[in-house]
Amino acid sequence: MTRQTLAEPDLEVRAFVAPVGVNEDPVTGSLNASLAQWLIADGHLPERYLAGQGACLGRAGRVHIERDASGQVWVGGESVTCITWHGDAVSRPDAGAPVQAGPSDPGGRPAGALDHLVVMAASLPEGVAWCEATLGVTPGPGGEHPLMGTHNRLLRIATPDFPNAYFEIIAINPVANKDQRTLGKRWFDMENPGLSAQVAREGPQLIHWVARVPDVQAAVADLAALGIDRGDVLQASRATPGGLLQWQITVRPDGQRLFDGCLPTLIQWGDVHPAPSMPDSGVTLRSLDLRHPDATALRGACDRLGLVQATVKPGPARLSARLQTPKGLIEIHSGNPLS
Amino acid sequence: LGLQAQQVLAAQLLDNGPVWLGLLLDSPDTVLALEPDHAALKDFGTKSGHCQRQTVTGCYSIDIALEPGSPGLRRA
Repeated sequence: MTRQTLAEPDLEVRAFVAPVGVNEDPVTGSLNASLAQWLIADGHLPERYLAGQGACLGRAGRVHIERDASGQVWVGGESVTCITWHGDAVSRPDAGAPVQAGPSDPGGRPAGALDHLVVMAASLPEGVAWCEATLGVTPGPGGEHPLMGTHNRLLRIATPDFPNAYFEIIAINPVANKDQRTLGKRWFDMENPGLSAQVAREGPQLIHWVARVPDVQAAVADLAALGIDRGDVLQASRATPGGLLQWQITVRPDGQRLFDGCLPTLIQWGDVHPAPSMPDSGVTLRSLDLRHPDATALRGACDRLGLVQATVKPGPARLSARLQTPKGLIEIHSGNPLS
Repeated sequence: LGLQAQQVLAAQLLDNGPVWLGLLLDSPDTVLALEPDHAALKDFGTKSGHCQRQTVTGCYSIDIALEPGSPGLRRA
């Protein structure tokens, strides 16, 4: 690209980074976020502007900056895909018109809410390494799930829009005694050969989400009325320093997530929710977007549960979450099944 | 950087993980014309310890009015 084809920027930026081994960086998204916070707050620039960087290196780039009503600064720009690594943070514009899940009337009961995102890894150390490389933070401790032979690490990603939301990195525990499992297949399709192979092939990835509901039995009945079998309601508990965690969660005997992971598993917590006792992670959830060929049925199910935080669009099945991280705003999404 | 003091309108330490020394310069042309001594900048970054990287910016078509004695100017 030449400068002539680009809009004139409101701000010219150069970044000198000799101590990291390169004299000058052509485009630095995270730096532009910091600059925006400074220059907008001090009145040098308006709440929306265009920055230019890299012209001196023959790689003129444009960075779009906007500060929203809540004071959050958003950084964006066009890009050229040189390498695609499915399972890693990749941000790209989506096709299809977004359809916001509409308001619901779940029989007068309080609405459901996004509880946590589920990232599956072939092993927990692999999941931790993925988290550090992708989100730029080390996940906090988690626990063991003796019933399922799985274990996890947790990360709080809550915001006012997603209260008590957290991030679960989960893997099959290779040393858990499988014989003690009293159930059918493990939850979240973790024993599904296709999904296991996909995770082994592409690395840790977003596979599912879990929604908390005030009355899990009633929510299961609501879905049954729509012809959706969310499965059995299992009781579980775990002692933690923050108190006894108790929850009820839906698991199908066949372990299936349904809707390729886009329809959430349902959870009902006891008196203690784990998120408030998790430390701030530096990562916050900005949005969850669901795409599915049967978007109408998926949207109907979300509406029935009062889940209005996720957008539902028609298209090939995919979950995408945008997260604000120390590495900037990133998007993670579910992987690609072999066709 | 080879700048005159009057070309620096404001300065701010920016911490987004790495710590940057941010300088707001008098014009985009000044920004684009800089030919820094990168070895000296690296040395500066290493010696200053908490500020390993530098960034310079210049606004187009923005009427810049700084209050005299702003913290940014003193830090510069």
